[in-house]
Amino acid sequence: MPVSDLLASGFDVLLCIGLLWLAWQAITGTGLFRSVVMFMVFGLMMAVTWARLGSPDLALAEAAIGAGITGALLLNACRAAVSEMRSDEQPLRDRPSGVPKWLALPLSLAAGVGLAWLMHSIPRDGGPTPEAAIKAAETHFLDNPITSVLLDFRAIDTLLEMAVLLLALVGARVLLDQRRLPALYPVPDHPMPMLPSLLAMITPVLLLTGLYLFWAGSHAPGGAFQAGALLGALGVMYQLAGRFTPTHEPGTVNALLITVGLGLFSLFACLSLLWAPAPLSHPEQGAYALVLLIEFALMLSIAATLVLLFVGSRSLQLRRSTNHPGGRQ
Amino acid sequence: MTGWLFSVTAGLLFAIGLYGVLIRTELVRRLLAANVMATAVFLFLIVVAAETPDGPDPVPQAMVLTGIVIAVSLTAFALALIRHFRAVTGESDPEGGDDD
Repeated sequence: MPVSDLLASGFDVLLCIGLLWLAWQAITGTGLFRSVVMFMVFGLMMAVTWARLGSPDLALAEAAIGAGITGALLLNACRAAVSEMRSDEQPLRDRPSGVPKWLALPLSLAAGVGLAWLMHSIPRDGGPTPEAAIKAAETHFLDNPITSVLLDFRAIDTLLEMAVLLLALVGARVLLDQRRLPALYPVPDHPMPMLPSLLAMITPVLLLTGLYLFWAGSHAPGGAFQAGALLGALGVMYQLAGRFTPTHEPGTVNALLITVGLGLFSLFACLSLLWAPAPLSHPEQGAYALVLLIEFALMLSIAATLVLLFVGSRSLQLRRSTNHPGGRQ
Repeated sequence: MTGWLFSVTAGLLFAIGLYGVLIRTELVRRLLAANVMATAVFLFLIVVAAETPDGPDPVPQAMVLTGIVIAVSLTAFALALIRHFRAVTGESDPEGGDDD
């Protein structure tokens, strides 16, 4: 075996051990904060794993969403858990679960090993799908096969995904509004001299990277999801710096931003019946421009929804963040 | 070798996640465990995609990409649900119940 293969295998082994250890620590460790940090590092290791398994698109998405946005949401939950706890309650105690440990451990191990064995025995010839998808992608107007699956072959999945995203936001808001829980972290009232200059430095970089990922999506790793997540991260930073002021009234700009992706996509689905027998088929002419337009709308909606989910799970009376979540003032 | 290794890792990750869902009663931790389980399933899909002879199969990759975005939106919703639960009951776990 050549040295490079040996090194690669060694790296894989280390990666797998790291993943398992981090997951174990995140779940069994004491202290919620520690668990959340372990989980965020687990997400970053997953991003490396995706890259190692030949899926750079997933690596980008995981780093931005799995580790970044999820981590921010969970850290928020930590602070909420601490500040909303009653004074007589033990900090986040764990009652013994109904399932005893001696039963849970072999049970889950059996499920995991059984699943691994089943997956291993699945034939790897791929069947008709990969061949068709890869062959079609070679002549497709989108050079990135994953983007062509997302926005052409399986566009219905992406359409419904946007619906789920919107539904999650609406559901979270309904829950949070219902109890009228107070905002946990109002806009910081003490001056933070470093933040504005940091934001000034990081805003153009994130905007440029996000827009590049959006643009690259048609021919290289990237796309609306990764770009939307990056812009969403920028919005979260603006919120943390107190640059977005939470308000109670629903704003037109915000409502427009969170619905434009689903709306435009649905409109396209209806209009496509004019030129094709099935919905979500692309026209002969101008398909590329159409995809770019839809992707841009998706990117805006994903970014805005992620920011609002972050803010919403934090200070519940928020109806909107006053400014453009993409980072403009 | 690579596929075998990552298959086993995915299986063990699934086991760890399931163990966490069964054992932990504190809700945020249980949500983390469910997320680990989801990641294990993603890993299975991508291992199969990576071993497809015609090169990485784009269909599972697109499915997992969709799955990652769905997972974050559901995590956010579940966290709102947990906060709501805590506001209603004043408890951070449902007393060994399985309401998540």
